[in-house]
Amino acid sequence: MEDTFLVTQTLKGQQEAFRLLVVRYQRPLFRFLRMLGFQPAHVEDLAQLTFLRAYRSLNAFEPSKGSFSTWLFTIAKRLAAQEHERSHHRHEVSATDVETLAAVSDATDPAEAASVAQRLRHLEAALRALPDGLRSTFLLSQIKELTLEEVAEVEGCAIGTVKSRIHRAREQLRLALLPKES
Amino acid sequence: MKPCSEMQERIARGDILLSAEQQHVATCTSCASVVMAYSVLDQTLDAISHDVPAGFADRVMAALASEVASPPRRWFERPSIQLALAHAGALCAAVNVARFLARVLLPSIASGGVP
Repeated sequence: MEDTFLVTQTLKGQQEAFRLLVVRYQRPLFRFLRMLGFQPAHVEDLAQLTFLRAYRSLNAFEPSKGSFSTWLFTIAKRLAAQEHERSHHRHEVSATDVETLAAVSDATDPAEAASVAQRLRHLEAALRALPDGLRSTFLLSQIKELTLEEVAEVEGCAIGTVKSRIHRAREQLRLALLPKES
Repeated sequence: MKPCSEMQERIARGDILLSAEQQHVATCTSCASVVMAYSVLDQTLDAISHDVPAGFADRVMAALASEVASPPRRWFERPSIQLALAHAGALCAAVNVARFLARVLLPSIASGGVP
């Protein structure tokens, strides 16, 4: 079912249609917020707030101006920015957190798990070090539900700028993950 | 087939390659080296947890339902209105005190009365 159809049904009072939208976008939204640097517990609050905000403003959604996913991630991005400003809840990955992250990776060997944990720590630090524009564009590009055109729409820039930002961000992150020579 | 430079740019950008392009990468050392360079980054990005907690959609729907069920606030219950009313009340009190001082207390003292 198309997103716009589900939006229309929701506006007609079919709340279950909105549930389908939640189920469809919850995973990419969690990924986006997680990569933005929010702690897992905080991610759930923000994701819920994003869906509630979307629901309240559903009347304002205009399919002719863009897709539902673009609109939803624009809301998420704004809320995340407000949250960062309000609480400086910038992600500081604790050792425990990294262990949690590593635990979900495919590594079964303890040495490999430790290596993954270390890479994750470097990656998180490198993500935090990216300039805001680069980070935001790059993270949105990681959401498979968004096309590059839609990322450009959320970011309010040209698609060429999006491509260039993604390239620069990935290069910086790649370099950050290179083994350090001691 | 696209030239290697264009394909390497796409690999660096993280684009998903078509099967024909993947076959090319498997045989082209230059393109394969770019894939290798970014493979650690891509694997690490994939390792970032983004699991959705069980029952998340239910909690969102429950929050929506309670929001819909609760009646909207009346106009005088809004925080901004209440703040404005409090300010107006304080202003009225201040004006009354000033009027009392100006009309009753001060003339009384000026005419030799005891406050």
